[in-house]
Amino acid sequence: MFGKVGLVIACISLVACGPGSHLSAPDGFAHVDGEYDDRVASATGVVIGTRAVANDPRANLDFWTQAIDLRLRARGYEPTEQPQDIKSDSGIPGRSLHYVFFDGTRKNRYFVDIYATHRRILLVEAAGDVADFDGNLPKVVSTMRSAHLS
Amino acid sequence: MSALPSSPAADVTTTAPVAMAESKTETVASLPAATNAKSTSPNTPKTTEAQAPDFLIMYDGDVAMGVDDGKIAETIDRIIDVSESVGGHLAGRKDLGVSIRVPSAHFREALAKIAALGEVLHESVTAEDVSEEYHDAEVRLANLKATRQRLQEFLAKSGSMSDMLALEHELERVSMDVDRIEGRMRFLREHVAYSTLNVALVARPRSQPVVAGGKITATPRVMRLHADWLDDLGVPKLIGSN
Repeated sequence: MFGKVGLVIACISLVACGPGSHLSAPDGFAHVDGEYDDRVASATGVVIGTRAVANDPRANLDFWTQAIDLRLRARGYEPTEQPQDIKSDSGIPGRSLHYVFFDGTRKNRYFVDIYATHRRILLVEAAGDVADFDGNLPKVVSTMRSAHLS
Repeated sequence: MSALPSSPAADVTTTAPVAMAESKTETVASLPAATNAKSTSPNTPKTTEAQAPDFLIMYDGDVAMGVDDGKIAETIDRIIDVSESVGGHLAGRKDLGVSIRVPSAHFREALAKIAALGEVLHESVTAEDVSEEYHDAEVRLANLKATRQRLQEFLAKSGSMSDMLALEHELERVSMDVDRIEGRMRFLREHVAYSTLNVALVARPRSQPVVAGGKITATPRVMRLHADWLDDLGVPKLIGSN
């Protein structure tokens, strides 16, 4: 009896806490493999990826926003505007950081949305050549906002 | 770096081929044995007759390096300085890269000095054993020279014009073969004595200063966190991930 209950509790725990986040692919984008929970890409190389990581050390949205911003700047990412407060389609408050990044051959636009829950941080990244990215901007933003934890 | 041969200097008797290339000695008898000396010290190879299995190995290296944006030309100049400091020389230069040739004895030393000039993104070293080709060429050269000697003797003794023409024609062909083989042997000796290093440079973007209240401040200290995913954020991973 207790064995079955334990198994059910374990299954519920796995579903509730397992890594996983998802995106809705817009028209013109396809789900592609990669080291992300979910990743979609256009034929021209505009890519949006999401993943959930442990909120460890446990901290709030301000902390993780600053930590991410500092690291990106240290690697040459140039902010294009102040961080924006956002809310995902599922109602989680978050923050969106916007940059440009020159990788030696191409100028890329790079967005990262950060959502911090009690146990997990949901990261949603988008990148692509500036011209292609800007041409798909509404789709990119709506796809990023569609990210949700499983 | 584990794939790197322990050292060309350790595997090849470097003093012998260097001296050979410098002296341009071409007689078969005087060719030194460029050998795998199995020396324990890269800088002091000890070649003995007993240790000399006559190995001739050509080394080439390719390095891709990231350097700060705006410092590519300066880095190329410093790479050329490195080659000259170990007795090598410039072999070719482009906007984003340079080829140098360094004495095989100093191949690893040059590689280490160059790696210190930037961030090594990729490095590969290839080694080719040309011992068999070289020694085959030695034998063919000896045979051809003997043939040429006999043809010259026949020519000196021949009486008829037709014989002389035929012998001279054959002598010319053999002499061309001798020149060709000697040229190939010279090429092999020089490439065993001197290794080629090709260095490609990639501009690395500068860190962005933090702007606070309109003033540029020093780059802030970044707290080290046990969150590996922070290093994975960004364009290269997102776009290149498979």
